[in-house]
Amino acid sequence: MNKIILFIALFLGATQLQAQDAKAIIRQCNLSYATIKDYSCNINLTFDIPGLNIGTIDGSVYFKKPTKFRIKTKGIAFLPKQNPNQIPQIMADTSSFTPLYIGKETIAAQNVNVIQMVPLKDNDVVAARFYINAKGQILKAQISTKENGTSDIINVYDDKVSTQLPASSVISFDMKKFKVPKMVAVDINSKNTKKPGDNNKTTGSVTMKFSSYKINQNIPDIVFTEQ
Amino acid sequence: MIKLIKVELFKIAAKPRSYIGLLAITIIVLLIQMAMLADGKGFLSFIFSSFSQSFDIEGKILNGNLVAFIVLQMLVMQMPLLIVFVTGDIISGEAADGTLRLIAGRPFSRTKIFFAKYTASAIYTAILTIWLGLMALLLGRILFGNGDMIVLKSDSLTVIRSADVLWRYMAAFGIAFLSLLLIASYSFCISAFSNNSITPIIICMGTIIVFTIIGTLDIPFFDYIKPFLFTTHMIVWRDMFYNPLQWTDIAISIGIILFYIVLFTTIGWYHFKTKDILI
Repeated sequence: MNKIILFIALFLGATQLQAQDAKAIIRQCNLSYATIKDYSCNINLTFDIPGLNIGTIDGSVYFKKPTKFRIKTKGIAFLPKQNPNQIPQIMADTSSFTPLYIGKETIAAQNVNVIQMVPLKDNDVVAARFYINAKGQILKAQISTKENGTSDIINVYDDKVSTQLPASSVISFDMKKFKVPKMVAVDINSKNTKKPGDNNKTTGSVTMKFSSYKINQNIPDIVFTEQ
Repeated sequence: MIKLIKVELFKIAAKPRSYIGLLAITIIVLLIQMAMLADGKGFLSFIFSSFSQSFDIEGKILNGNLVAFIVLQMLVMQMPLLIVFVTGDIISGEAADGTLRLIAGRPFSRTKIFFAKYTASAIYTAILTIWLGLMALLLGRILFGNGDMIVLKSDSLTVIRSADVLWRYMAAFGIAFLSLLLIASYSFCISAFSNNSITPIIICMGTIIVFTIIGTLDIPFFDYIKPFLFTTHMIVWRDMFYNPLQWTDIAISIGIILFYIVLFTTIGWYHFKTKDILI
């Protein structure tokens, strides 16, 4: 009997410690992001989206706390609903999510702590898992939402670019098959140019390369609304 | 020869039906452009509805390049009809009126007469193509501005950067001219056989409609026939807007178009040389 009580006490204690660990890790990340009120940077976008043939494009990124985010490009771009900025937003929202320590893993030859963010109330984000290294950088994130399915975000950091913000992000996401009404496309007499299997792919990815971060430059609000 | 061509061009210009094509292009293009000006954004949000569930679209989608492409897509079926109204009538109309006998009585060889008429038909076809280009692309850019172009296919989208658009349009209009010249050659050929102007127009349009239906049906049996139908290759202008450009396919299609142009012209010319114009 004493052994069982001891086991339960040890288990509860360990769980409590892990919860504290998870909170401490998230707190460390939040502290790192807390110094960033806004930022802008250059971006280069590369698309790998089934049914969409589009070349790379350059543009600018603008962010302002708490949630303003915009990518402005020099031409047409298809931007996924998910963006790397979702990660700090979820981490900072301690009233909606509680962190849970999952374990340790290795990503890109770095040891990372795996933290699951569990929603405390009804939320569009139903689950989020972050892979955080010793510097508090999020190397990988998996976010599942009710609206847009699951997305994976893989970040690469380069101290020459920024220690807090990623030098590149690859966002992979679920998407629905694309269809243009035949009457509009007027695909009459068309030769069959479909690649085998091309139309069955339902995940797309966008690679974002960031450079020339400018942090806390007091970005005006109009940047986020102007056409 | 040049004098003969001038005479033929004058005859085309004197016929009211020659202006139907120009008028129809003007009305159709203006209607589409006005509609796009009034509710283009709503139309595009309908087209992109399946994409907007996963993406936010950044940039100016509604621009002159996209509108011009939509206009050209819409006119795929109508342009041949506008061409054959005139080119299908050039020999047969004169045979019906009896004026062919008068021309043949003048000191010009039948070959010269035939090719003068053919050249005039080609010039008319070029004028219609250029007018279409001016109305669709130039007016489209004036009304909607320039920008990256979205090319619509039923199962995919291609985005072409604005700097890469103009030369593709020039090449596409060049190929469209060859495609329409093929129709002109076909109707001209039938016109050489016919003694009334309605028959070539009906045969031409009937052929295009039947070939288009075969081209549209996804029945495996038709896959063997489709490569031989000229309508399959007439839409190769659209390939100029795909990435990467399939140069081999484009070259093959242009080669087939040129083959049909030479074939129909040769058949028409051979028959015209020996045609009994006294009937």
